[in-house]
Order: sequence, then structure tokens, then C-alpha cells
Amino acid sequence: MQGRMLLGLLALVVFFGGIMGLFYLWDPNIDAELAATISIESEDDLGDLIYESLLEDPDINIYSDPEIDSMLLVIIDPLMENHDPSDFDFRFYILDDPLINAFAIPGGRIFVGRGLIELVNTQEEFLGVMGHEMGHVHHRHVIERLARELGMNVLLGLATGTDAILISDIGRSLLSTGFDRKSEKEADEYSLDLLVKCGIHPHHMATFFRRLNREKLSYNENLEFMMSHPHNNARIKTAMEYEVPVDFESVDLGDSWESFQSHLAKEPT
Amino acid sequence: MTEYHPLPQPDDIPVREKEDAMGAYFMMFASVAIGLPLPIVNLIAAIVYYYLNKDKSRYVNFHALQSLLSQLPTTVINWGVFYILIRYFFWEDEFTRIHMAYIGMAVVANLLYFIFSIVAAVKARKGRFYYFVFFGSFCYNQVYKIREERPQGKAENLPPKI
Repeated sequence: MQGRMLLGLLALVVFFGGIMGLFYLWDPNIDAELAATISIESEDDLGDLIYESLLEDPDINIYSDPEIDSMLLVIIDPLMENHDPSDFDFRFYILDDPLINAFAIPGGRIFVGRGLIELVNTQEEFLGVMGHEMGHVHHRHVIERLARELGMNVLLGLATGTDAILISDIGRSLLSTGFDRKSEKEADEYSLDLLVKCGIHPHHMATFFRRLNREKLSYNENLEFMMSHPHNNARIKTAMEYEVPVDFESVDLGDSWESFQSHLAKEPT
Repeated sequence: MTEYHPLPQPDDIPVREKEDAMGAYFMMFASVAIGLPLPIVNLIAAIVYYYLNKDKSRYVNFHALQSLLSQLPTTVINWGVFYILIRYFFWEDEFTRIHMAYIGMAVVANLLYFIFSIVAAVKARKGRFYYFVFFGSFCYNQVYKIREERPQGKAENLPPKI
């Protein structure tokens, strides 16, 4: 009797252990992992298609003022000078959008809403946010996310550019920042490393996250950036505890940020 | 040779006992639902129900005990799920693959527990026995095994076990 009972108990343990093992082996992110096999050229092509669809979207207005573009190039220059050699050609665009938002599309194009520029106080904070988006591109989170959401077959088929409606939908879906916690952490780490290379103390990133938290508490309806993350506290902690090299020296970036902000504020919306 | 009390047959069991036996399983559903956010309520309710009903008859005792014991593993598993979720939402812990596997297993365990409990409840209402793997044999042994009973209120000196 006791022997049979023990056998039953053993069977239960083995059964549920086996179930857990099967779940462990089952990989729902197989498409996301396969995304790494997509060539940079294909990702670029897809990025071009999405960019074109965004340009044609009547609800999305990208600033096309050459003066703003050149000012933005100056602002972003420290990141361009110091980021690791990458296969991606990073390009930055400003959206005439009150949303506090920034997002990247495949291939390295990064978009930032006017609302975010108004919220950011310093160039250092802005570079931290842009570095974060560059991190998503660098780690291929954007293409992984699309592979997860659409499946590899659809994603590879998109490169032909035949399905304009789907491409437009994808462009719009990328507007909302929806990466998992691991991806956000990787993008943060990339950004903090890059900031230090630029001579910017990671504390600036923490300052920005704190401001985001305050905006959340005030229920700012335009807040989109990082809304998928209920807690920024761990990220503040990471930025605050980031160990800068002993010989680290902060670089003075000048006052180009204030003039950029005021110039943008004068732009007709 | 171990001896057991004879099992009652469906027609011999009063309706009231059948309903109490069935109630042991259905009561667990309600208490599991209440206890889900904090998987302890169901355990307390199960223990209370068992102690209130165990002396009604061996038939009720068996089903109440089987229901109580069979929910222990799922309760412990649900504690684990609770712990993982707390860590994820409040300590911002990462959600790893092993966590996902554990939660998947917990979902299967809970589903199986629910399905088998429904089957057992229906059988109990018909005056039938339904033995879960391991728990069925264990409870039968606990409830129906004939034990030597000492005369009430009379102390008895026994030699040491050598």
C-alpha cells in the first residue's frame, strides 16, 4: 500500500516537473530570436518603407525646417562622435506632437515628439533619452519586437513593400514604446555607457526619470514615453549608482539646448 | 495484515452525507477564488471545513480530507506564483524563462485540480468514491483503516518499544 502511494507521489512530481520542463523548453520568442538573422540591409529597407509611410501619414507631422535640422545635428553631435562603430545609420527627426514620446524604427531612424523636448531641461538629459533609443536600435529590439508581433514570415514579406496598409499600421504601432523590461534595461545601459563616453554624468538620466515620475503623478495626458513601465525607480537607482571612471570629467555642452528649445517654441504648430 | 472498514455503497449513504461530501470540493472552489490574490484563505477554509465535517461519517471524512490534502500542492505552487509576481511588480525583478515555466506549470496544476475536483464532487454527490492519484490512497488509508481503539478515559501502561 505504502509503496503504491509513494509511486503515485513520485508520478505526480515527475508529471509536474515534466510540465515545467516543457514550458521551459517551449520558446514563444523564437521569432524574436530569429530576427537577429535579418540582415542590416533588410532592416534598413524596412525602415525606409516605414519612414515613407510616416511621411505620408496625415496625423504625423515631421518638422522639415533646415534650421531645426542643423541645430538638432549640433545637439546630437556628442552621441554621433562617441557611439560605438555601428552598422546603423542613426538619423533623428522631430515630430510636431505634444506627446512626451520618443521612438525608433528599424534601420536607425529615431523620432522625438515636441512634448518631450519641452519637458527635457538640459541637453544632457536629451542625449540620455536619445542614447536610450539608439540602444534599442543597437540591440535590435525594434526588429525583434516586430518579429514577435507579426511573425518572421510576415516581416520578411514586408521587405517587398507590397502591403502599404500594413507598413503604415506598423509605423503607427511603433509610436508607442512597448519593450519588455529586459530590453529597456539594455537600452538604459547602452545610453549610460554612451553618456559617460560623451563626458556626461549618468546622474542627468536619473534627473530625467525623476521628472517623468512627477509627470506621471500629475496625470499628464501627453505622457507616452516609458508608460509601459510602472516603476522608474530601479532605473533611477541604476543611473545614480553607475560607476564613472576615476578620470571622468564632465564636458560643458554650452547653451545650444536653450536656443534650440526657444527656436522650436517659435515654430508654428 | 491491515484491515479496513467496509466501504459504504451508493444506496446506503444518506443524501445529506452525499451533499456534505460534494460540498467539500465545491467549497474549495469558492475559497480558492477568494484566496487567489493571497493563497492562504482557501487553506484556512479547507481546514475549518474538514474539522467541522470529519466526524459526520467516514464517507464525508474521506472526501473532505481528500479535498483538503489535494489542494495543498496547488496552494504551495500558487504561493510561488504570488512570490514571483510580487517580485516582478514591486521589486522590479526580471521575468525569466524559469519564472515563465513555473507559472505555466502552475496554470496546468490549477486547471487539473479544478477539473478533478469537479469530477470528484459529482461522484461524491452520487455516493461514489473517486480516488485522486496518491491522495486517494492516502485518505482511504487514513479514514478506513481499522485502528485499535483504547477504552475512553482509561489509562493504559505499555512496555517500551524494544
